[in-house]
Amino acid sequence: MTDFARAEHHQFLEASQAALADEHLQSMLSRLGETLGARNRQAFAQLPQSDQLRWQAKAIKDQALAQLDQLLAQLAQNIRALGGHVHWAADGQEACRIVLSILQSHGIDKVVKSKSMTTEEIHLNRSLEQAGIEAVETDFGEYVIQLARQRPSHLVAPAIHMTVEQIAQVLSQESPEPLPPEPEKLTAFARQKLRQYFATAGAGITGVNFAVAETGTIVIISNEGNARLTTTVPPVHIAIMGMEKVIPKLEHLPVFLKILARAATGQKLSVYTSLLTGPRRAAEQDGPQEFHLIILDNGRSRILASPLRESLFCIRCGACLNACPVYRNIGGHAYGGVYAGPIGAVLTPLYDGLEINCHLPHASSLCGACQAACPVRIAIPEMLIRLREQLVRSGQGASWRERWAYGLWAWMLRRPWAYGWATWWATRTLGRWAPRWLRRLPGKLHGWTAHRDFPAPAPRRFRDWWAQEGRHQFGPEQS
Amino acid sequence: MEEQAFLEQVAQAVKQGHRFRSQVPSQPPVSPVPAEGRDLVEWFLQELQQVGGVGHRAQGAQETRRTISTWLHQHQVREVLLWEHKVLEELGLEDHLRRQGLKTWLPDQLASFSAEERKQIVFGAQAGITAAQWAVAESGTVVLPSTPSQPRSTSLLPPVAIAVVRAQQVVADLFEVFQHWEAAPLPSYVALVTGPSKTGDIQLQLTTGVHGPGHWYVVVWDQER
Repeated sequence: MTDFARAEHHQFLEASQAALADEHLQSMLSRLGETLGARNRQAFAQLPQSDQLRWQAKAIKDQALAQLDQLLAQLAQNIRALGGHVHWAADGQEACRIVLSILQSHGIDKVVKSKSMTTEEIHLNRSLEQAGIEAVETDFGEYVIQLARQRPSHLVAPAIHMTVEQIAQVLSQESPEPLPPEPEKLTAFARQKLRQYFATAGAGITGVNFAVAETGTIVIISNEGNARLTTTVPPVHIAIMGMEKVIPKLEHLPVFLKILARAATGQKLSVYTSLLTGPRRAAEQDGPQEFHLIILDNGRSRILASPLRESLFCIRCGACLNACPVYRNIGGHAYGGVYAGPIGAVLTPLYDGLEINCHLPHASSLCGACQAACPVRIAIPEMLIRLREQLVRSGQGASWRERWAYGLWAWMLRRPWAYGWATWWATRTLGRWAPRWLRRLPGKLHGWTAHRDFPAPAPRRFRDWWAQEGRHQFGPEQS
Repeated sequence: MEEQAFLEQVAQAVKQGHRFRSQVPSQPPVSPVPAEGRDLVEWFLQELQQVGGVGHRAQGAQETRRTISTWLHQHQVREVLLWEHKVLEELGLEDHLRRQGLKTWLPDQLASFSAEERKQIVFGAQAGITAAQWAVAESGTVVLPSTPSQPRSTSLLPPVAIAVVRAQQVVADLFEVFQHWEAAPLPSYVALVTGPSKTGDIQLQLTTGVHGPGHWYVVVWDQER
């Protein structure tokens, strides 16, 4: 359970209000659609057979999950045959314990990390900190976030909520003299500074984008090159992967490589795709001497056995965030959990509990933009509806008034005479006397009209119109 | 957790999840992006430029060597890391660079140093030169496998990186690279490199050279015409 997030979950509504009032955040979020979002659409438009490719990716994921136990066994066997070590973690705490025991057995007190949502999910940095191990994030955005003691607000652009001035200010803490708010100078500073950590760290910790069962290969993708440094310089490499990351064959990998970067940033491929097959081999001068893979369940087997199984297809590209009208208004922090946006609204309740995240499944207009943008076509809106259903069934999602109102509605819809009477009544009253648009609904219903008008019932019911006119114009020909 | 218990739990979930499998319409497998009569080298160089790399098609060994020295000269490189590779040997690159007064480091020479001394040298070099296994035209990508004579650091640590690709090593599409690998076992490490190191972490603006080389060059060594 993400206890740091707990305090914030309850404040989803307040957090989104605050995000709406944050001018810089709003200007950055408004640019997402025309930058990352537009580049994604353009990249797929230019790719021949892109529709087929996305279906194929989805089919591979579906197939992989249908034989997941066998694939994981095969992956583990191959990695051990190459001289690597494989560990199994039922939850985040166990994963953190395994990492600590590996580090402590080598007496390592300094590690470098490359960006990994899975390590965010298990709060590894906090565990390392508590054990007195210095862990430095090396992805530029993550490094800034870590120094500022914040959380990432976007899957692929973790510091999107910060201005260049704020970033300069944060990095200046680490510099003998204040740094100017110029991107080149800031990245050059981070490069110099982080090189010292790379050179002296006892281990590198990474996530895993894909793992290939038949070859024992893990694949890590980055644009900056920090993932390569993390797996090249330190003598020990620890990779942590959610168990759903495994794919059966090497030939499946290019299918995902071709869609991942396009969906994330509109690039055809990210700058660096690393295929790591076991630790360094005899006579090699660089690469880790020791390789550990930690395979994490942390609720995933529960999801695999549920109607929300498809959420395990997610390749963490962030395309649904860029497409989502809700994310583009409230940003990542308002979601409270590790994963933001539409997929976060599914994943956070699944990993962290539905009840304390009860607002998230409702943080969507169900417009379907997320599913359209998703490179593996996850039916996100459908899953949000499922979660809403679960909330209602558990008595959590709705107030007694709402339940009573919907109960009445359902009762009425099952009885045509009641429905007919109600619509007749509505057209005779509101339909005749009220203006076309109602500016303000009474009582609690005012929440709906606070920002928009409510259409009043028409003065004539459809069924009356049909009986009097429509039937003659549009009805079946009478012979 | 014990492997057996972990996998049993997963197997259980797989079975229960079976009725929630996704509906996926059956599709013919995707074929590689066709070359359609395009000149693969030109195509590759265009894409390389798109991703911020600098490329040149050199006719013959002499022009290839000259291209490399020009690039090194532009960055005032004094020390350079080299792969030990057939293509670079055929090019006589090491001798050529040494004659120009550059300090060259081959993996063989580095092997005699301690790990700590080696780190000093590798972190200090201003450029790294590698060969490649393939180049992919469609995405402007270069494929760099690692072996004892082809260290991972060469294309990663120095601020300037250069790859030498033979013209016949350029393929149209990434799928072709993976088809080649099906036959042979993978090396311990392969990097697919597509342009210079970059980040969009500062206000979504592109900045190059964060951790890897900010200057990425590829010379395609073609026949003399």
